[in-house]
Amino acid sequence: MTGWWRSRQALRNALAVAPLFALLAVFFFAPLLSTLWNSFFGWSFDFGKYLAVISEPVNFRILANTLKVGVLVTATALAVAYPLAYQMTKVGPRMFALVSALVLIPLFTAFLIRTYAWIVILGRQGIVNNALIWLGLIDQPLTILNTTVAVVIGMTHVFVPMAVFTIYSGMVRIDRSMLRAASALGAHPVQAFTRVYLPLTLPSVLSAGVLIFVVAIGFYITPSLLGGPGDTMISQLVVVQMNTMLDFEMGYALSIVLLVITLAILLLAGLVIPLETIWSTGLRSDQASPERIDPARLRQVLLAPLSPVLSAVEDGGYRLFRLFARVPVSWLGVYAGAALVFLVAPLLVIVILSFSASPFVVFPPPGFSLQWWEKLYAAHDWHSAFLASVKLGVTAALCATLIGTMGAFWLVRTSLKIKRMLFLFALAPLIVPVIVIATSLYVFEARLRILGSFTGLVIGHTLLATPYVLIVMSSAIRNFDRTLERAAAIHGATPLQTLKMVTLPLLFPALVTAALMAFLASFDELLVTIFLIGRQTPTLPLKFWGDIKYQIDPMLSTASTLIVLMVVVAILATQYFHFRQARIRAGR
Amino acid sequence: MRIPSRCHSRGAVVATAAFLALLAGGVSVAAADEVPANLKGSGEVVITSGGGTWEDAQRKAFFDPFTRDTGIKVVLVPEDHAKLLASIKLGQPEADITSIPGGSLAGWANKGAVEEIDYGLFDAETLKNMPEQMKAKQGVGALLYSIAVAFNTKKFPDAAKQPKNWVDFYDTAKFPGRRALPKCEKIVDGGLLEGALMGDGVPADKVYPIDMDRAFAKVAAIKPDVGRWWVAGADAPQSLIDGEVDLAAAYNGRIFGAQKEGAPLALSWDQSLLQYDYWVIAKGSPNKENAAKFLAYISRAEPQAEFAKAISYGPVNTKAFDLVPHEMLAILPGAPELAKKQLFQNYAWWNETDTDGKTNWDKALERCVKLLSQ
Repeated sequence: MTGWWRSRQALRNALAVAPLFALLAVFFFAPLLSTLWNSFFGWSFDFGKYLAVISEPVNFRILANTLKVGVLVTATALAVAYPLAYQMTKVGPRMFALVSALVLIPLFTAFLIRTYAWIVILGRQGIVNNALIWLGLIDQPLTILNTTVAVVIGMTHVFVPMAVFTIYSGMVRIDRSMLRAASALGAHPVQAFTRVYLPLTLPSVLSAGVLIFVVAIGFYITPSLLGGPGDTMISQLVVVQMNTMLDFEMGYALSIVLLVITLAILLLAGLVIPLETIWSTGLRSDQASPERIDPARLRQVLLAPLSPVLSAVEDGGYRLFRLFARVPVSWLGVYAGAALVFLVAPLLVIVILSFSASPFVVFPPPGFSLQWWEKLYAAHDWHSAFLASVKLGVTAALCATLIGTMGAFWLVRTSLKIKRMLFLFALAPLIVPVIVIATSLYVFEARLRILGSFTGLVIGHTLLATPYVLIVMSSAIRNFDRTLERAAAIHGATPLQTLKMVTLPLLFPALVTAALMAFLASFDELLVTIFLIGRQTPTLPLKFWGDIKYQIDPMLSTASTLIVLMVVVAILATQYFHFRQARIRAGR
Repeated sequence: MRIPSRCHSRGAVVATAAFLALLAGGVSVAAADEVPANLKGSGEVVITSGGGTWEDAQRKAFFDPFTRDTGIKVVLVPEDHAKLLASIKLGQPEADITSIPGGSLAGWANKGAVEEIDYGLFDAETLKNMPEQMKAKQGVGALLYSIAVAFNTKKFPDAAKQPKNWVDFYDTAKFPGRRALPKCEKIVDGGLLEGALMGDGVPADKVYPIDMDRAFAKVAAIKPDVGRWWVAGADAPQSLIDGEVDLAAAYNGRIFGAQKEGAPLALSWDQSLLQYDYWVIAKGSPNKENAAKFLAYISRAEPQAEFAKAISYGPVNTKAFDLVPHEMLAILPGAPELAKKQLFQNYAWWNETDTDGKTNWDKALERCVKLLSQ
């Protein structure tokens, strides 16, 4: 091959990645830089707003509260998810299908719907309080809604499915004979767990934990709806400063602070685990990340100083373990069952409410009625919101799939040394807190005069959806057998023909998955939409958001039930499809 | 009577319908030919709305008739004043028209957020029947409403032991239970500070000028008993119905709306505030002319009366009081016999602007945000 040919090919390859980097440069990094620049009033380099963030006790308190909620949510979600994931590694295929469906359904249900359900469940006359009073445990209802507890519960619910799948994918790789070896060498079950199993699962637990924490500290919707005024988190403060107080610069400064905290945590995590694996468990076996996690080293670093304490705890734990083991109940099964109830309960409440005979949201409903379904059938505002969401989702998914797939080809196949860096860079819209993206784009698009246009909205959604496409497609392309392409080329196919007749057909299932993920990311998106929608027809999440604040009737539950039903059907269909494929492959 | 067949012109159908309605009980329906030709147009006007019974009433009395009679489409976006202000600041308003509490008009005007109103489109009859303060340079009176003490009658069934006024509302020993109060965004129209002062024993005629230190101290004191800080009008009745709170500072129209649906709620007029909203046109609105036409259309007596009937808020056109059933006068804010028990909210005070360009509203808002996020 001549040098000319090589550089021409390099140029053509670079063209494939151009849309991705153009999108990121113009609509992601430029707005972010502008936010940073304006946070200190540009050339005047006035850092007064940053000073105010630290010196004003209120701001400082909100910052501290944000981190506190982040830690609580991360710990709770991991505690719920770990045993559930473990149980999933032990059940048979049918049970596994059921359990994973029960975990998937909440994962794909708009989290506004779930948050709404928690309002009903945790209220003073909610299910939890009524049950506790009925059991005689309390005589006055507890205040749960509008407290930190409610925020943690609601947010944990959002993160558990994600944690389950991340941890599960780490657990299935573990060779169980190591546990048998440990017990053969004299370890009691608790020791076998803390010294062998737990360290082996630690990387996936860490991945899940870091991901949960960085996403959690950027949360806006759940604390707004479930928390009281004292539970304000930093994203809410950004919105209050920019909207209510019209102090844009303060909003910028807070955004930058949030961004810096997020990056600092990731940097810290990057010392222990390869960062790109956080967003994609499928990438773990990837050759592109040479440094693997050494569980033994991890354990050494984290636990060595505590060794004597650890032994004592292990022995204590073992005694407790034997005590429980005397009762012939699968404690783990009970725990996993409880976790599943926690995951599914909010959705059940929504379904039940949708058949309420009452004109108000009261639980349990006083009677059965189809009135809300009839009203939904006639509700034009809901229909148009649904159509708006579908239109936006399809457009954004198409854009993201095209841009992301082209980019993924280049990112996987380039031989550039910095490709890991570039990959992380391309995932940045997932890393940067959504509120920061939303407010930066808001001001930036206003300057370009595209704020409130459909184009502006599609840009925002494409930006958020593209990383999902990148993750799915790059792992598919990596596993793709390139010799097939060479074989086609040898047989006289032009590069375009090869792409059309060999590469794309083989990658088709991954493409569908990527497009679906992108669609769901857009379909469920609220924060960026709130800022960019302008005077267009509200999307479905926006309609939910408005109605949660303004409506007092159960119509919301009815619309939610319909969405949940659609999600359930979609999940069951995919599972059925997978089952059938597996059976075909097994030759039956 | 002959039912008009399909080949009749639309005007005839509307006229017949109006006639039928008149026969049915004196309900007047605005027919197309009554509407001045200068209000007809095309295109759209984007208006914010607060949902629920409020939006239903507006749709019935204002939006649908306006579109029917003028051909101008009404597009609704969820009401979010804070975000609307931000978008005006960015030069791309998210809505053409919104209604704001009378007490925040100067704040909006000082921020350069509102256009001047073109009263040239209003007919002489309408202008004559609107009180002077309803025809401000940058705002048209929208409605009269009241914030008052509301409560759940299941929690307080005994008529002798029901909370009557703000003193009772703030008395947690005599009236135990959770409260709902307006959040900072609604500090003026939710009457947070006025209620707190009267709750602290200040007589109604001494509420203004508001002693902010005293008012915020009272709010801070009741904070532990507040179960809901509401931002939307529907929040107050909803939190009373679902039992989240037992007493609430609530809008009269929302409470009466929920009562009509059978909710166990009641409202006391004692020490209630008499308030009004202004319709304003967002600065930089691309549909300025349609917005002005909309305001001229709905300020007429008929739409005003229809609105009052639908949600029991007072009309800004005095002639509309003649068009509502007599028994409704007992529950319409601003109606003569009620006004005696009410305190007229003093917008002049709220709109007072300091040398640093901040109105009392701006200052109260800042303090409120600070207090609530503690």
